[in-house]
Amino acid sequence: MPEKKRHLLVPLDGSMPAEQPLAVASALADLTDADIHVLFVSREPVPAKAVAARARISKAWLPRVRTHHARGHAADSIRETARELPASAILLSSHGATGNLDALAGHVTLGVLTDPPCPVYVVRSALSAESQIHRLRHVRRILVPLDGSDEAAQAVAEGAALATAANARLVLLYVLCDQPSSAKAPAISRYSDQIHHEMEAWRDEFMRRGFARERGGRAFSTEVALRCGDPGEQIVQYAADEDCDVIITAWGGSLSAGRAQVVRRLLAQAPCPILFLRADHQARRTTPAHQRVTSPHGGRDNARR
Amino acid sequence: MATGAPNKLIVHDAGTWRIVREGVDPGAERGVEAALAVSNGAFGVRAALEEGNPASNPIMIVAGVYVPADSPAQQTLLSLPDPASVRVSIDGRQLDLASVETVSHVRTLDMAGAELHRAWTFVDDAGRTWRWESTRLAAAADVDRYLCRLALTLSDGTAAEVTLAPPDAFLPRYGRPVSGEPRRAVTVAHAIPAPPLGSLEVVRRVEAASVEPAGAPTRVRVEPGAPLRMEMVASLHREAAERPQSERRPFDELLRRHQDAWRERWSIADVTIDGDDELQRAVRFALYHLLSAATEDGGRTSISARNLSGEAYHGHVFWDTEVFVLPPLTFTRPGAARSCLMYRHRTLPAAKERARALGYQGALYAWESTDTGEDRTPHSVVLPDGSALRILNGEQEHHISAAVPYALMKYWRATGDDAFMRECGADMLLQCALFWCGRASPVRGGYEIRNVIGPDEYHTGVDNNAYTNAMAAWVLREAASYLSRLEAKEPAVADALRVRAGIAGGAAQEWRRIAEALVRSTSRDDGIVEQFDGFFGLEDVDVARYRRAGVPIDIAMGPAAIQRMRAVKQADVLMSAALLPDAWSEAALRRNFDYYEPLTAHTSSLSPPTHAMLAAWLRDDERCRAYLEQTARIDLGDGFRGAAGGVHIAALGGLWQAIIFGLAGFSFDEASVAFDPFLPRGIDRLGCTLRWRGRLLRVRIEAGGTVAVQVTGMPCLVRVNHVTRTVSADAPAVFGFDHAVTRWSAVDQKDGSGHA
Repeated sequence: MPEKKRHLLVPLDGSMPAEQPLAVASALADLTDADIHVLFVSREPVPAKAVAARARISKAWLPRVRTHHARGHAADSIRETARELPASAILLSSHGATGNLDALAGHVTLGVLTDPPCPVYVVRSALSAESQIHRLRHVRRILVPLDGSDEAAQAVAEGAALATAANARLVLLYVLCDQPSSAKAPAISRYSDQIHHEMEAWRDEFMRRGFARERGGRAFSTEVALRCGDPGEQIVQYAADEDCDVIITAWGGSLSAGRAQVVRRLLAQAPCPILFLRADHQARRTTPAHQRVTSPHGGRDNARR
Repeated sequence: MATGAPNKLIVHDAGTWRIVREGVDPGAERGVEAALAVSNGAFGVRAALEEGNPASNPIMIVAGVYVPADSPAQQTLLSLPDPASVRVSIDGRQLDLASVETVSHVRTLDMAGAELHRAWTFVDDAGRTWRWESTRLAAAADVDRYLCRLALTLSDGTAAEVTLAPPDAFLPRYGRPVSGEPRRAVTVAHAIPAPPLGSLEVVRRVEAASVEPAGAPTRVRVEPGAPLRMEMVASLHREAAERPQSERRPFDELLRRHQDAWRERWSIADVTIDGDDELQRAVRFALYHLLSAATEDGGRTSISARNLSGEAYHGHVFWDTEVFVLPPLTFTRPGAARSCLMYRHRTLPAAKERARALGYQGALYAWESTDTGEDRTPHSVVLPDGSALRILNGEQEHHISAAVPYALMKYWRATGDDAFMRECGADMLLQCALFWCGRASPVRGGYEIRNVIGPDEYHTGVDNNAYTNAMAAWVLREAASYLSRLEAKEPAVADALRVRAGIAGGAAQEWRRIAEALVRSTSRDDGIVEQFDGFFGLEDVDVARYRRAGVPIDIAMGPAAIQRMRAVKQADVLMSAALLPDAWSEAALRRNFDYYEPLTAHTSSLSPPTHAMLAAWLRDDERCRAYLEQTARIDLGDGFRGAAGGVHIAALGGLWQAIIFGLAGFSFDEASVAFDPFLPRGIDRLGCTLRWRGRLLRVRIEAGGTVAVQVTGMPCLVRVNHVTRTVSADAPAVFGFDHAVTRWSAVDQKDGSGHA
């Protein structure tokens, strides 16, 4: 079966030269074997020939990217273009060049994240582009935080695909929170009759639960880690301590008050790129972005692997 | 479920004899497989989906056969592929939940018949509707046999080509058409070597509209209205064993013998609870696993922490078997309890060697025991946070050598099995007494036991743990008493026993003296017993916050921090009251319960049932019901997720004890039985059947205040509250009782004497 193309959608607003965003995109595209599609959104019409210039893409990059233009609301346009391509992933900076860095993220990024049509990579603006490029070109550790729920476990498939592609290690992290949990499926038993047996059994069960929907063997190494405390804080700390290169998390898409504390923390403090997936509450199988492909007929092929 | 099938959480059937699970949730699947597992004590098989699923762990766990483990556990029970597993394809496409549209999927554990049923209706790619129905069981009467019956029915559409193949590990043995029914039915056999046990052979008889003779896979043509039927008999063959009589028994005969065996088991073991269906179902669930946990194999095996339903704990045997599991078996399957005690007798040489190696006399049983009785407790483990934790249980948790005598004496007193006591039990009792005699160190005119771990394993290396000291003193007194009585009644036998055990004359007196002089833990002015030296001076911690959050406090805080805290993992001081209630007064127990219960994190599954029993003794309705409920949900709650590594067999034994010793208020000695019942609000009636010294006692307790006792066998002296009567087989008796009368007040008023 011929290899099908993957498309990485990179929205640019022209507020700054595209060199660094495209360098990050290039690293990610190489990692996921995808084409780069740049989307420039404006309120006014822009001639096709002028899109690259308005997006401030240098000539050196033009052979590597395909440009698109859309008019209207930025987040809506990004989502729409992603659906049309269809994109296997979107790459966003947490803030635009003119954005308020004190804010959680730019309104465009937040707008896309709350209803993404496909997985979304977010690179925090506060981090140097060089370090993020280096991480994406040398992915060694991929962190997937899990809370025991089926929704969170949907990130495992994406992590597995990326770990396979990058020959990286996949770390499944559970943060034990000492606050009353709202999780429907606690990931650790309240009983630990003999801690040495219990931890071994927990590791095994946590791993099995994480990979419960995955078939076949795994061509990458995996690791289970446990931390105690505030989940967002511990995930960020673990990623920094253990030099993780990508964090992958599935979330419900709502940033309303009191919700998505982990997502907020990641957007504010993650030391590496973050891949956000929209959790499917129906708990259906998700096809990893790395394997989500364009069918020969132009439609999306979400067939089960 | 990817197929869009109904995926309800646990659904219990309205009846209390069945556990029903609808749908398949990958995240909970391993817990479901353990909770609904079938076992006969010789092996257990998890309730995995026959056709395979990524979330499944389809294994048969073989009792008593240990192989090297790729973990600090050193040894683990032998696991084999589930012989009922079968790879199925329909018209060339592999069948599994993901390949078809599921209409309904239900697994039902029929606890009455110890059978696992599965009914799956699905629509294939061609739009045809299929019905998959299977029944599996671990034969109770023929314990080397595992049976599966499967029917695959095509309801509509065109005929289909179906292939059946065993897991790859199975090798073909033979295949031939059945005589007289060419190509309508075929028998195929496969086997898998299972060293060091022997082998596992699987014989399948497949019947359908058309079956191709031998081949792998078996090719079958299935037509609407002509189902594919398969009967599988799997046999565990031990290399050195003789071929059993059941070798050639047909499927239906094996099935009938199994059903007869379970009918008999339930007739002498069932517990009925009117007014609380959840508790009723939970106690039957407990009994189902308890009754199927052991086989009477002369001491070759015992019951491990997760019985044969999961791989957690690697099949290692702990003190919980003696303290929590064997008492229920003593009163329901005494032969199985005897066999488990014989396991401890078989491993007595290793226990003696272990004591000797550590510089003690007598017998120190392994904290984690496998086949030989050598200790298999790891010395360290790497926690998921990357830190190394030194495991001291094997070095310091010595109360295992009190647990074994505890189960032994309970068994002996309940059964009157003098032959076993003489041949096996006395050796164990005396060797454990010798151990405690040497383990206690003289100090300031008394004796103390230093550097131990009690049931509260948060605190290591403690001195004078209240539970350990109390149990050690009890072992010494019991051994002294037994030896003295034997010396008086049968001096020659006593002499022989002493010689065999290497015990000098006068040992009984010395043991009594040490027991009396053994340090009793400090009690405050208000009568609170200190759990160990220095416990009262530890730091405060808000245990309740962690309990509410359902978070193990020791994992959240870490082992070093929890060691400094006044937090208790499980009943410890209270555990000694649970096992030795006659050493306590009601008032003292109440004060200590009120002090220790709030400090207890219950991160051991053994803790809730113990507290339920104590709360019943103290007539604490609210806490009794809360702990009963918590115990009942250890494996059955949260969609079975807690059972993923196997059911908590000791907690299930604890539930039985909480109901029988707690709610029914059952107690006994060699001469009589007694009931001081307490039925919490909501329970209208409690019925139980108990075996005691060759008799069968059928007891019915009404919340209104009556106890009806029926005895099968010799007449029996029965006390209920203050009234004692002889009950004979031809004259069932009805007693009145008062919920407020406890085991202590009943005896106090009857005898006019109090307890210390």
